[in-house]
Amino acid sequence: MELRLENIKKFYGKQYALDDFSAALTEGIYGLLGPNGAGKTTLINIIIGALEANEGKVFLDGIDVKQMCTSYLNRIGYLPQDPTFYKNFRSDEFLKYMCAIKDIPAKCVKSRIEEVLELVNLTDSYKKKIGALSGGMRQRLGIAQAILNRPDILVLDEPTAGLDPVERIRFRNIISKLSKDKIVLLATHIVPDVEYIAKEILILRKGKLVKKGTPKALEKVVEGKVWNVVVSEGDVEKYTYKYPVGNVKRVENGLQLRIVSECNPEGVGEAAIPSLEDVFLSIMEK
Amino acid sequence: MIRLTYFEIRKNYLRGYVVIALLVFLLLNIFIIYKNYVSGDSNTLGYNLPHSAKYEKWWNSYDDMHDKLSGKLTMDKVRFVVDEYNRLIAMVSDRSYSTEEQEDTYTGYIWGDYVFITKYFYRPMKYISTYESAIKQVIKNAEDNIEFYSQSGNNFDKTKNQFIKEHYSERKVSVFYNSKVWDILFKYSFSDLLIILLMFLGIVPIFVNEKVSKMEPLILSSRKGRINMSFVKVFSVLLYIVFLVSFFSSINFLVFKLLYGLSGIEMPIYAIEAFQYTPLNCSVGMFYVLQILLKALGFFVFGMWICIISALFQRVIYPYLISALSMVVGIYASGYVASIETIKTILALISPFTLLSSNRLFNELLAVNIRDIFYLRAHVAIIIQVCIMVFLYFLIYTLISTKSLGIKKKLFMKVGV
Repeated sequence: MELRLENIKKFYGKQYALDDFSAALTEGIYGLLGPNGAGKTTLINIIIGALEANEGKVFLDGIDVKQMCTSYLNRIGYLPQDPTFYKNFRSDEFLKYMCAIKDIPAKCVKSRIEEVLELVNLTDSYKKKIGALSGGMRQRLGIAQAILNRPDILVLDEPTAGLDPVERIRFRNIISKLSKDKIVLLATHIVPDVEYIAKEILILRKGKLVKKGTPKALEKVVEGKVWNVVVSEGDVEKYTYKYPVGNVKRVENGLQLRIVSECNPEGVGEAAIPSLEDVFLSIMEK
Repeated sequence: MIRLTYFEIRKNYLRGYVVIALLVFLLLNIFIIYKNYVSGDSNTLGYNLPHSAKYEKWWNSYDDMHDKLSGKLTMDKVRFVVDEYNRLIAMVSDRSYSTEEQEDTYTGYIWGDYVFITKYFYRPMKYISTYESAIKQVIKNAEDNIEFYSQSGNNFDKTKNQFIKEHYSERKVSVFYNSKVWDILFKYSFSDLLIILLMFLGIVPIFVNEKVSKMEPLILSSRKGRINMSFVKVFSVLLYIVFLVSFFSSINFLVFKLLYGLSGIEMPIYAIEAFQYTPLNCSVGMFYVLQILLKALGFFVFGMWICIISALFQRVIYPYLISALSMVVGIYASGYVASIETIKTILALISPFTLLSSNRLFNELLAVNIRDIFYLRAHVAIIIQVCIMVFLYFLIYTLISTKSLGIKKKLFMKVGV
């Protein structure tokens, strides 16, 4: 299975939301990284068919998705960013509603709901009103609705935003479980969310795809350019102004700054093992 | 489709605040009808007696008289009323009658009896018994007019008089009932305001809530959601409005029946004096049904307009404000329903609220001159509202299935929104 995006352009007036975006996705998890306003949600809306691109096409297994019409939608599962859903619905009611709009036959609804609730560990809360669910539970309900139609393409927009660490880990595990035989596109601006589970990372900046590759390959790009520098509190501002600083950590003899730089900052830096966050930082600071 | 419609109803209308508002409005509506019943309806000519202890004797006599006179109009009944009228007018004309309270009277006083018989029985019965001859004169005039306008080449007035000749002939009222209460029922419009408020509560969030809850892209990326959502939403609006209109119309009818004792449901609509020149030949019962249907159509068109406003905004406050403003403008424009000025007539015909005042649309012969041909204003209003309804549905469908801002902008430029 291959989802191919060819030269996608989307603009609002003279402002480009997406500029010539091309990528080919196969089974596995893809992390779509980018700061707020980079065009992630626009790209997602185009992939899920909720928005039309001004230029470019989306192909699934070589067929233009516009020609596939609603059969393409049957193969999509989507979790929007920060959904509140319908607060006056119970969880099971909401899933029944989603079954109805996804055109899942009435005879399959019960079994399908039980199946997804179990997968996201919400079996005990299915009678609760959505308004009474915690943020994490609501996100899991979001995943549950996204997989109701057993989609081939699962698109998740900022799924971990606002979740506590335990929920975030639980969420990542669910996504990993689901990624078999599926294309999972996970859009986020939180790098650790995709660092360990993504097959490939796509980094968007101002509507353009600026980097694409496996986490390891991307980390190689900044190899030898990541430094830990221990400075006094008074020097922090100077370094922050001069270099892209990723992390600030309090250590015994001052503050340790994680800096991405071509050369050793002030000659006092200690080389560090690069991470995906460093890659992200180096791209965003350009 | 049924599943989706159910969920749409559950989502938008089966909400706590809507149900509570419905119950509160139901009680308020009953209270207002009762209040009008007790205080008397001063808007209805000749029917403004309050139902208070002071007028208890009046009402007892009134009910007794109606028990005696209601039903088929006979010579005996007419003679009785005329005799009573003559007896009382003879007593009051020379001003020699007693002003003291008297036992053997309808109201307790001679003058009261004179007013009572004249206002509530003599004049209504005179109207009914002379209706046939009066309408015959109207038809004769129409025939003369047809000839005159044919010669002068005035096609509009010719066709108008032809309509009168065709629709007003053979009219006769052979029954006598308390027709004024039907008139009060037809004119009662407080429940319409309550329906509009309930429409605001139920329909304004219909599309905007999908955006607030981030459900819009989910719906658009789902098979049925993408194809059927706009239809299902509009259909749910129709069901909601049909429910509200039938519910309040039934309640109004029942409460009126209980308080005023509506009788003569099969008497012709022109038996009500206010409707003497109506173009309709149906019964009062049928007119009430027609009124309900027209209200449903008018409310539905307004409901679709609210849907469009709801689809255009991200926050619910703006659709509420614009819907309320639209309501004010619409009601104002509908006030021109009987206007003779072209622009004002067009405004009234465009306003869906015109269909809410069907008593005004039908109580006289209101015409529209289109290319020198006579058309009934009510027919034109209905056709225009149906066209607006189709256009609004197309607009909703386009807005929902096309989320491209560019296309939206083009569309607005086209329709001049």
